[in-house]
Amino acid sequence: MPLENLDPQDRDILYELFALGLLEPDQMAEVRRLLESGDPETIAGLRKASLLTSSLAYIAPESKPPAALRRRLMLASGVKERGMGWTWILGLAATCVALITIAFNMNQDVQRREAQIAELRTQLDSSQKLVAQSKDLYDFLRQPSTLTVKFGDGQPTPPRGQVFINRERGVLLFAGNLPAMPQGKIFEMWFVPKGGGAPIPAGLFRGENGQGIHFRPGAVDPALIAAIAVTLEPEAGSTTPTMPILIAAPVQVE
Amino acid sequence: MIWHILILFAELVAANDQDLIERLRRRDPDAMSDLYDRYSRVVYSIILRIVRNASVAEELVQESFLRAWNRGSDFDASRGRIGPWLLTIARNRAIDYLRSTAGQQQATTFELVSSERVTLFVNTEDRMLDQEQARRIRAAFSQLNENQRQVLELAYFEGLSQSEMAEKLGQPLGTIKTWVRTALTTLRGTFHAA
Repeated sequence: MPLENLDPQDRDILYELFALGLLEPDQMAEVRRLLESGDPETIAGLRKASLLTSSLAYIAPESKPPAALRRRLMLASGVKERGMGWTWILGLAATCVALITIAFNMNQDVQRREAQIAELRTQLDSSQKLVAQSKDLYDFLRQPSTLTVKFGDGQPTPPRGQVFINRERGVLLFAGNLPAMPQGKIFEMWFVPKGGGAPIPAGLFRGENGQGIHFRPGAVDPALIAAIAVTLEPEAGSTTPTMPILIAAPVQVE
Repeated sequence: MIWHILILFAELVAANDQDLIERLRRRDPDAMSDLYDRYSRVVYSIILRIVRNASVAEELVQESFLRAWNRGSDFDASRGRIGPWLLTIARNRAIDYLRSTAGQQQATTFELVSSERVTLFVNTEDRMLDQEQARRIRAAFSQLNENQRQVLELAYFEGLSQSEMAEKLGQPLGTIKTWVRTALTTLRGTFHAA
């Protein structure tokens, strides 16, 4: 039957049989002639049929081609196989360099942070010590049994200040107008006993901007002390005071 | 919303197919690798199913891809899909092999080559994804009865004519033609309607 006389469904089947290579020779020749002549209806019908028949490939059980086939094909087509070559070595090297750089930077960062932590810990220790000392001094000062001695009042040039004496806890000195400490020298506090005995060393301390604070812990009997004195001594301290006496605060027990 | 996304995705894939075709036309070496990576599994599967011999299948896979590679410059397509074309080439190479071993080569080769003309795979409105195409044909094929499946398999995978099928199955030619006709009608209806 001539193709023009076929209904649309028969034409679809005809095109599908052509795509599958199943037409009888005379029909095959007729469709091919129309195809070669560029007949739009035939071409459109064959396109639709080709999509359907080529899809039948997906019914085949799935099999994986051997890896060597890819290499053989690339070789046969003259195409250099994409992929590894030297590129992966360069990539690996770049990755290694990046990782080492990151690790090095991280290590430096860790070390820097550890140093910061150590410094902060030291500052914290110092602050805690300062707080403890401040608390200790506050307790010392607020006790009713603490005796207060002033010295140097009304005299701007010589040192002046206050001495606090507590029988159980010790002696605390606040001094102002202190002279500058020469190189290799330090201030030393003395207990001057009543009855003319030799002054007793009561600790070394440094001054700063004419100010000095010194605490000599331990029990002390103010009734046995005539005065609290301060001299300038070598850094190791002295067993006897070196003249002149910078501070002499008489202790008077009521 | 979901349809918009699917359409967008399909257009994206189609655009990638166009890109692959364009690169094949330029004979960009990477295009061959991409073509192989995308279609080697289905091409190998169909050829192996037809020839049932792994080493022959490997040779025919190679031949099919080389044919596509050498004829890629003909694939002048602003719209078109390379997958169906490549699958047609692969099936034709395998059927050719079967027929050549049976001494029937001369006449049929020319017929098969007509079915893989580039014209039939370009300027198509088809934007179907390969995965979608596979899903639809499997769904459609599952709708067929045993006889219909058998004749389609004999036609597609063994390249038998309707007369040869009648002889092989011991059925009248008219019955075979009815089975083939019904099978193709059902398949087409389900495939395009899915």
